Amino acid sequence: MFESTDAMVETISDVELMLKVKRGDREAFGLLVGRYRRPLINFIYRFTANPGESEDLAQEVFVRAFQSAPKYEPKAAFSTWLYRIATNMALNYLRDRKPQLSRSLDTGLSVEQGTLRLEIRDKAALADERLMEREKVIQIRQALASLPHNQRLAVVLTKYQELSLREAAEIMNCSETAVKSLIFRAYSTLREKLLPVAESRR
Amino acid sequence: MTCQSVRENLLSIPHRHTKDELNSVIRKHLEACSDCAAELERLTQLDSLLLEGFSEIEGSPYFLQKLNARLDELGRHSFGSGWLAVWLRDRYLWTFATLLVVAVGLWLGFRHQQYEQLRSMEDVVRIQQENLRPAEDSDRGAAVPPPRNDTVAVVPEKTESAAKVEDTIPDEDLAVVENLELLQNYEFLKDLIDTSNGGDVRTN
Repeated sequence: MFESTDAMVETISDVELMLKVKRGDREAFGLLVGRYRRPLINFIYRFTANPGESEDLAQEVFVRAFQSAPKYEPKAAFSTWLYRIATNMALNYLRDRKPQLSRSLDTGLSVEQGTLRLEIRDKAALADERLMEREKVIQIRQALASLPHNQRLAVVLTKYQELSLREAAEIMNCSETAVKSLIFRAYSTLREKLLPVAESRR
Repeated sequence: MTCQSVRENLLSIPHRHTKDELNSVIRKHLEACSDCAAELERLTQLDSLLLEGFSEIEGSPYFLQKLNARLDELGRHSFGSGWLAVWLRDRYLWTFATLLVVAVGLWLGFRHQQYEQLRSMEDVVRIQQENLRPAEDSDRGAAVPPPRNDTVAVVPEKTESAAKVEDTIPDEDLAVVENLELLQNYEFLKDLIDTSNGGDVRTN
């Protein structure tokens, strides 16, 4: 029997789709956006701790990917290439935003390395957070935001995005050992900072 | 396997809480070492705590539409795929190439002009040599050959006073005076050639 069109579309690899995009196929690009929209928005959200901006940044990432399609060479996995673009954009965003010290979310949060801006504009995220214990969420985010960018990136990629050490190393352009070391240091800090939260759970 | 290496390995395993990804060596170590087992428990707890910090967000349902609108807008503002787009993409290269072509063209033009000038000067000298030799011979008292086509040769003769003046001219200025004479002779020769071709001034 013939496979349905949807099933056929699902079997097309990312690289094949991207090569179609390279030839100007907008429909193929739409399929790639469908596959990576959610992981990318969440990656940026977790890395920048800003749900409101994460969608706009994800849009920028896809625009950049579309514009860079003519130069795309399938050397690495498409996801690695896309995450690398997203990482660069998120890092630029964090660097530009650094002097901006604002307080929002009626929390009066203060992170050790500056004030963490937590603007929750996304309605779904806001509704989710209402369900969670707000204080705990804030403490976890504070702890993660207090990490240096490379440690935070290593944690977000491996822990939240569930990428392997090799994939994270490719995205971060470093060795697997370096990623391991970053995670080790990040967990040491996180454990120290989140010890009271963990204790309160028991 | 030491406790240190086991703990380092535990950190690099994404789904450590399920214990499926732990290899048999680590599993055996964990069964024997209560400290490392407690470490795994703490890590698992930290993992779940971190996940609670950021719930999944869905994003706008109009994400793709917004993105398509952006791409359409960018497409309108871009210069398509014609020659202008090619120029804009590598404009520095093209500008350099154009400047190089212009510079080479100018240089070649200059060299050509120089060559043309040189050739015209050589022609003048050649014509002078061809036509003045008989005149010089006559100055020395040699037999003057009859002018071509019976034309009247109005070669200016040097007077005694002119010869005296020439004697008084310093050697370094003599070349200038001689050139002046050559130019006068050139004018004369031109008339001579014109008349020989046209036959306007004829005697007999």
